[in-house]
Amino acid sequence: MARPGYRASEHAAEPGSLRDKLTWLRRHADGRDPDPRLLQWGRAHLDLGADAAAPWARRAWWGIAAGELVRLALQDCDRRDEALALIRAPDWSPVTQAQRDGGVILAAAHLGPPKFLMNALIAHGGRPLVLTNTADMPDWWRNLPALLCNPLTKADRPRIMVQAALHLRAGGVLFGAPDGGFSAAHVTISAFRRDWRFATGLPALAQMLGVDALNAFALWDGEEVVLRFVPITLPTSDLAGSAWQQAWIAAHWAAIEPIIRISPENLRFLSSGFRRELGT
Amino acid sequence: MKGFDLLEDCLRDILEGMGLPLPSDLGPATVLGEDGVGLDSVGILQLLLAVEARAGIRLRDEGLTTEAILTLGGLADYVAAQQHG
Repeated sequence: MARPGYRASEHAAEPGSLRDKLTWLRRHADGRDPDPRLLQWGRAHLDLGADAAAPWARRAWWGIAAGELVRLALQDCDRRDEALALIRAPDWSPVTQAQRDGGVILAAAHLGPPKFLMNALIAHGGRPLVLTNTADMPDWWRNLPALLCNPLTKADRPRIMVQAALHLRAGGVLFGAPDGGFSAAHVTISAFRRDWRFATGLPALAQMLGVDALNAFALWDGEEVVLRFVPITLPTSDLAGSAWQQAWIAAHWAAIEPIIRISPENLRFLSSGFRRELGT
Repeated sequence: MKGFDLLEDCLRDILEGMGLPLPSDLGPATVLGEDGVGLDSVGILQLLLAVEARAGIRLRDEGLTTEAILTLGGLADYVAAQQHG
């Protein structure tokens, strides 16, 4: 079976709707040889047997390629709305409900199409404070109605932490992905035969300010995207200090773990080695 | 209590809570972060919340810059501006 090259950058530039391209891409993925890097990951970390590994790797490749196709649409100011229209029956009521008690933290993860939930949240309104790699975005995003902060710059982290706290205290929404794990302060979870590193900045804010937090994901479901908001609840209120933060991360991880286990399309954390060949 | 004394008092409490020593030569140029007295971003936030509580003020993000909370002197100026703003 051939393993034809695919470049999301060229596909994005072709005429046609994004939905049609995603459907085409599914057929293309099903016809490709399974990617050997993904096969290896699935076998090593999910114990996939020979029969299960190939279809799993094709689905994972589709998720990565589709994510890059959507990334390009989100980065095009004329096509961003078309990308966001992939959301099936968007329901922001869990966020709205959580905000009745004050600020709320949305704890995202590197799952699902990249930069999607961030864009959906900004388009939804309310001028959220977004922690994201601002170097990896088009200039026009900086004019979107949001406070974009880059936590990758070490010198800015104290200011960002204080700004986030003031934003939450004013009833705002703070969006970030603890699984970036860039922070010096972190919690490590061992699962699927590897370590997963989580920065503790968001749980520290939740703990210090007593604000609610939701697991917040935008995930592929077929060729559409579903939003999922699940409250982060701790098993006990008796915890303090770092134990409280570890429990918060564990509750966050509990929402991530089943997605990794059963949803290969949503493993965006595997995409970094593919972006160059996909042209993004 | 003067502004700088209040900051020093709060800083002492935060550092004690974190098991870090209070430098003997505190001054406006004292760096608060990990290259100075050793506070991480959470520690600096704790310091500001402690200052709020003791000074009876509510900090706002006007004037909040990376430089404003880099040193004790910068923080003193930021807090003073909040008090008089």
